[in-house]
This record gives sequence, structure tokens and C-alpha cells, in this order.
Amino acid sequence: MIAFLELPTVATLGYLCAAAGFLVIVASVVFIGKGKAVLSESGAPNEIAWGKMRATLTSAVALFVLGAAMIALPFWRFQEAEARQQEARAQQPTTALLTGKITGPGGRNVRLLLVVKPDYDQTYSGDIVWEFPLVAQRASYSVFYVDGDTIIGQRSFSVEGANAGSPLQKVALPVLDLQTGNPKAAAAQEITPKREVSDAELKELGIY
Amino acid sequence: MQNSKSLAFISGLLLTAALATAADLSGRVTAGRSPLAGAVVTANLVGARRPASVTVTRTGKGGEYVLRGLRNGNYILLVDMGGRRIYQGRVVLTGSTLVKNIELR
Repeated sequence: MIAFLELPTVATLGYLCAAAGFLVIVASVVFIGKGKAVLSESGAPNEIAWGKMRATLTSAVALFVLGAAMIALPFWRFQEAEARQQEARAQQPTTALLTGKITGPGGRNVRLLLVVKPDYDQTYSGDIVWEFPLVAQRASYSVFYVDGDTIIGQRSFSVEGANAGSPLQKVALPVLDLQTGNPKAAAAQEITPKREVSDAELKELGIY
Repeated sequence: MQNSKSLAFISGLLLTAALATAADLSGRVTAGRSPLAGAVVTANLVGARRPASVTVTRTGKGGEYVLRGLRNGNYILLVDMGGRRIYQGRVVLTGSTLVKNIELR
């Protein structure tokens, strides 16, 4: 009994509906069993009389149908709800778990950016002229300068109109001269790399 | 009471073991006898389950670097500067400290 009370309201109503439908069917069968509802020789519906209650056979059949419908209704609704739940489950994206370990310089936290492999990936030397579609409702973007596997710079910018029909947005990136503008890069260019471990061995170890 | 003493003893042993296995890797990166400041030094612990551990630091003004609290084991040591790999080598940490000077030309 307590378990029945703990059921959700919709489920309780469903059970009550099915039970009422069952009772209605039983009642209609009792009507026929007691001979209160019989067919005449002509096939015309007879009157059903039980005490003060009076109805035609058509009403008894209608009662039967109503009872069956009352039983079927909760099952039909339950199947609909189940189908909706399955659809919702199917639409949930699969997740991935990324694990690793990193110790930042001086114990500081290291910022990790997780991005989908970008659709917009180009290589430049000299003038940059790059027209790309803006993402709807997204005004903030970042450009990462990548040399090999190392991010050597980042510039963030914003656009004013990212809605459909907005005019072409022009963004000027600051000049970045890694050959002469960055003394560290310039110094690194003059150093002869020393490889006590081969690139192939590093690749085999999964180190880049 | 007896359990508390045992727990404290075991904790002490574990702490001592952890401190005993933590090691420091330090050294100096030079290029043509000049200290190389701002280079990125990366120590990759090579383990059975890759990648085991990655520790990163930058060289100071004098080209010095220190990577603290490393586990003993085989490491691939990498030095990058200005987005360019200028050194890749191997070191083996077995004790509590190891000095690895990197001289480049």
C-alpha cells in the first residue's frame, strides 16, 4: 500500500484507470451473465435492466469498449513516454575522459584548451588575408600561432556583428615577426640543435 | 590507541619513502658559452604506461633550471626556445639530485 502511494501521480492515475476499465468490463460481463442483456431473435438490442438501472445492449457493448479503452489508455501513454525517454537518451552526446599529468613552471597552473580539430587551419608567411565564416551569435575569437607542435603566440579579437546579413568584419592582427622581432626566436635560430635522442625514438615514445 | 600508533608509524614510513624517491633535476643551458634565458625545459618521464609524467620549467637569466620533486626513472629531456627544439636527450634519475648541464653551439 505504501509502495503504491510512493508512485508518481501519473502512474497512480494510470493504474486507477486500468483498474476502472477492468471493473467496467467485469460489470458488462456480469450484465450478460445474469441475462440482463440478451439479443432478441430479430437481433435488435434488448433492454438491460438491473434494479433501477436501465440501458440497452448497445450501452453494454459501449461499456465493454469503454473499459477496454480505459485499460489500453495508460499502456499507450506509457509507451509514448518510454519512446520519448529513449529519444532523449539517444540525443545525449557521448563523453570522453582525458587524463594526464603536468607540472607548470614554478608550480603554476597550466591552461589547457580543448578544441575540436579546427575547420579553419591555414599556414601563412608574410601577408595574412583570411576570410572565414563567423559562428552565429559568437563575437569572440582567438588566433593561435603554431610552429610545429608548439604554440608560439595567441591573439584574441572580437567582432561586432555575427548575425546573418551583417557586413564583412575587418580585423587587423598585430605584426608578429618571429625572425627579427623576437630576440629569443632569433637567438634560437642561430643555435645548432643537439639531438642525443632521435626524432624517431621520440615519436615511438609518444613525445613531441 | 594501538591502532593509532600503527597508523602513524605506517604514515611516517610512507612519507619517508615518498621523500626518498623525490628527486631534483637541475642544470644550466648555454649556447656558445652564453647563458640561454627563457628556454623551455621539459622532462618527460618514460614509463610503461605512456605518457607517465611531464614536468616543465623555464631557464632563468643565467640559463639555470630546476625541476623539483621528480620521481626516479628514465627521462627524455627537451629544450625549446622560440618555438624551436634545440635539445633532446636522455637522463636517468636514480638519486636525490642530478645536475645536467646542456651546452649548445
